[in-house]
Amino acid sequence: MARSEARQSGEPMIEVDHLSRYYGPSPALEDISFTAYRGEILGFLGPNGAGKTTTMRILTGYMPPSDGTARVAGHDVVSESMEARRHIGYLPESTPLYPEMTIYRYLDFMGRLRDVQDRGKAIERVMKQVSISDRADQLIGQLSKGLRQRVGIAQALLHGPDVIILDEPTIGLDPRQIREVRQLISNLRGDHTVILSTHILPEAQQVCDRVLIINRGRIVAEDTPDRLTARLSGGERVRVAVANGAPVEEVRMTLAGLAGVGEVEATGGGGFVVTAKQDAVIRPALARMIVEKGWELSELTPIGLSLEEVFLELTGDAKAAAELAGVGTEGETIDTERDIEAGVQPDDDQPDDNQPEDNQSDDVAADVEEADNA
Amino acid sequence: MRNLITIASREIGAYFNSSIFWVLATAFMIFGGLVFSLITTGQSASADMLPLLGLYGTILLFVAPLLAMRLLSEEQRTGTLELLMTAPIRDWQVVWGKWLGALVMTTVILALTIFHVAILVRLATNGIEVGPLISSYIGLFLLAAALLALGVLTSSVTQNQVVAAFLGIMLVMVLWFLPLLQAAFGEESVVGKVMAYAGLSDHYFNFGQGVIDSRDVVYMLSLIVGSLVLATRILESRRWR
Repeated sequence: MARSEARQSGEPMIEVDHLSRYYGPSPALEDISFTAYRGEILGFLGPNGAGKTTTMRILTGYMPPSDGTARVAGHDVVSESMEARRHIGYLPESTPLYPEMTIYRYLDFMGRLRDVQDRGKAIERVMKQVSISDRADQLIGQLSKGLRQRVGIAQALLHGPDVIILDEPTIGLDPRQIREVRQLISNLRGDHTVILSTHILPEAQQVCDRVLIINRGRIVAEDTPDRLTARLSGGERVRVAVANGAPVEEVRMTLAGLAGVGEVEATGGGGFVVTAKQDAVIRPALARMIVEKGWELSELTPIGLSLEEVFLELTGDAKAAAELAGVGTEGETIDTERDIEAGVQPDDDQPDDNQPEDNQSDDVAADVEEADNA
Repeated sequence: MRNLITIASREIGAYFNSSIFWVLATAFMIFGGLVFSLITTGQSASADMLPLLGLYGTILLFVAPLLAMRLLSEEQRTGTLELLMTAPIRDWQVVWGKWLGALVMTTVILALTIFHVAILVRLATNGIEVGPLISSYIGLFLLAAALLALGVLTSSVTQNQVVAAFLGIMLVMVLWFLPLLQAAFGEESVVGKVMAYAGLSDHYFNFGQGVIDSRDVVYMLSLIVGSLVLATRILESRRWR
């Protein structure tokens, strides 16, 4: 697949080694290590307050780590901060912009700060890239949230950075805008290394080449979305029960011998959990086989591992799992409309979440909104 | 230097687009004009710069903190500071650039008072002394620069513009009236002398005499540098929190 090829051919652009960050005595990040390669889109997936923003802020040089090292394009983010920063385009979560500036003037300002050569051309290029070419002279304060997000992304692309870091780029957008922004990010694949954070699993699956699942400041899993999907999709695992009397070992052997069956696990009392190989449809064959053998089939149910369950399995964190899944997308192939809904939902779904990091940014976002209206 | 100018020119653009600048500039001219007319139509219509200097200085005590209040607090509130602090520029360039932008705008306001001087020249029967005039304006400019630096300092400690302005005006007032405490401690006592030296107003009014004393200049410059260095430190400390 094109996705994995891009990853394999790449050199490491971000190297994070045993990174920790403490706010006072409490850890926000504990001993995180990972590598991102040139051309790949790496997703940080985790509930609010998991440490996604903290990791990004360390990479961008906004705050230093308490322990460990991070290198961007070979430059240490602490000792060679300025050099590292030159290789990064960053969009913080609240999409901070100056409402009183026009899009063009704002991009010009950021271009000057970043010492972009041939600024006019660069600005035209990124405005085209995010489809805002016709709005150059519009005031940022008058733009919709989706357009502002595009300006924020344009700003991050302006200097042609090797690494682009986007913190929750689709948060607070409507479904159509979410789709557009995801498309925009997908288009960056190959040219840049992109890190994006999200607390929506389907988003990570749709956009990212590789996903790091972060919870409570630790990386709990690292996988490609394909394998993640395999873990998630129902139909892959089936609970089979045969009425008492059937020879357990023989049934097990028979089931295991079926085409498409990967693993068979006896759970006692005539019950089995059958795991199918990738994409194989095994239920009809299972049923036929059992009936042909003259056994009595008493149960045949797909075990749909929901997103929540996978996360729960990895972390044992029920609350975070519920948040991550947003709307239940139990064990089905991800369809665009539904995951877009899932993308909008969790925001208002979890008012009880009091993690400081994200709440603060929400406040900021609200304030920006206020200021803009004034 | 280039980064400094980039930051400063964005700030100047922001001032032109903000109501606060126009309101303050208008207020400055209205108050200044009113008191100016009182001074000049009074008993002796003197061509003395000192009353005018006191007038502008007093108004600046309020105008400068109000002009400076948004400089860092607003960026902290909206989060734009995070983008500046992750761009390849130094924190001090952000702080000094913003101060520079505000200083340019304040200089524009102060330049409008040239009209007053022109009227004064017409009214004064014996003409006007150029020396005190120039030294007064140098003093006024340095005062503005120092007050704005103090404003940047108070703007760095809070996300709230109103709090920043309030703190700024308080700080400025304390410094301004410090020499009054000299009497309380005794004219000749060490504490009293320190009070007099640390105070803003004495140094400022010295410029009205037509001589530029290096002590006054050094005082103003140290106030500027001290405030801005401290503001930079406060900004940097945000990274560690």
